[in-house]
Amino acid sequence: MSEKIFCGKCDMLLYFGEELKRRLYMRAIPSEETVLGFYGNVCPRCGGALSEQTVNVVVEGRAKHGA
Amino acid sequence: MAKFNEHIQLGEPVLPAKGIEKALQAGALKDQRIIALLEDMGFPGIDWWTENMPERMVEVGIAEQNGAVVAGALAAEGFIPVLYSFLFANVGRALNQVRQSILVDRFNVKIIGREGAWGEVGISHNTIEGVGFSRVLPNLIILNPADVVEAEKATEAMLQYHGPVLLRQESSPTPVRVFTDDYPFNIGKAYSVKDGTDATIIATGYMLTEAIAAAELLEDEGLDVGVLDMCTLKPLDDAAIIEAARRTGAIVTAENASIIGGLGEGVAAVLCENLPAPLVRVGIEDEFSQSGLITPERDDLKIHFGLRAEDLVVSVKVCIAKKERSRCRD
Repeated sequence: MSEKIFCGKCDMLLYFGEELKRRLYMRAIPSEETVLGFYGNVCPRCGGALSEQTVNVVVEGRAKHGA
Repeated sequence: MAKFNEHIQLGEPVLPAKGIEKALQAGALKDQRIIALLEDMGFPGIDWWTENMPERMVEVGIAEQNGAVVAGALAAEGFIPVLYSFLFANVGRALNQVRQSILVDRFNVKIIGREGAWGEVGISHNTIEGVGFSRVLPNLIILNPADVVEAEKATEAMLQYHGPVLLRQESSPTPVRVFTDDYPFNIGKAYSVKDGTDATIIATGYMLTEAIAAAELLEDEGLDVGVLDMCTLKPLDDAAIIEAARRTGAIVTAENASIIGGLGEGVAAVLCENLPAPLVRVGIEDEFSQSGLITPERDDLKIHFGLRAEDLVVSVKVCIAKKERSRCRD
């Protein structure tokens, strides 16, 4: 499964990679909150505030039983 | 004369490296975290860096595995290293180190891979299989700009984005300038250069130049063929691919890279899982590159691999014929 996080205002891709909650062994990036913190919680393109309420999170992959 | 969309203004051939140089210098002036990491292969605009920012240049020598580890370590300390060398070396030779020391922890390292297609350096350095071996790596974004403007915009976006990015640099053949200065580049988004109804050519990198020329040739024959620029090879713009298939029902992919693991296979997967449509993949068959004469006037390898506009014209016609046949079966 992969995850993308977009700025809700200008649609800039802020994160692309493994689905964060499925990272069982690597904890360098533990949450969406950490990702937004890399940008100082401000979109580098449009200057919009970044929070879990202002970004769009898209998780892609094959549907599985119980998922 | 074909009708192109907004932000398209065809010009003369210009090396994409010029755009990369410009964006790296602008980025370095704005952000002190950016470090030039050299592997005995220079750096885009190296004279400017030597004169203005010698303290922000690190030369690791012909030791690409070490280069990847140093890049990961610098990123772990908050720097933004830009690792520059041939794609066969900085990713290919150092694949394990790129995987372990950069991608697993998703460190903020930027990799520019020269001769991602081919150049005058020849068969040993031309990395036509580079897109394939890079696309399987998780957490890595792959950009393949088509002209000097897109190279500048993609480099700027690469530096803004927090995470590992590979930018494939076309060294030769030299593509024409395609985009206007206000072209709105966005990582992960394809750009429709020309709309069409009979088929769509999805092109990446240098092949956008040939795709545009092919669409013009086909228009002279009464065929209305769209051209979609797919600069981001990972993640692909699935929505744009599906929309192109819905609108035209015939897709031709164009890449100056191996068709195995490249754009064509990525597009095929998107189509098969969402909206199956006739597809022809134009690229380099299952073979290594070659050495050949490459000048602005003549490119032996483009001819050798069948990647000219005239070759694309044939593939588009084959694809449209496939579409017609499938309609007859329905």
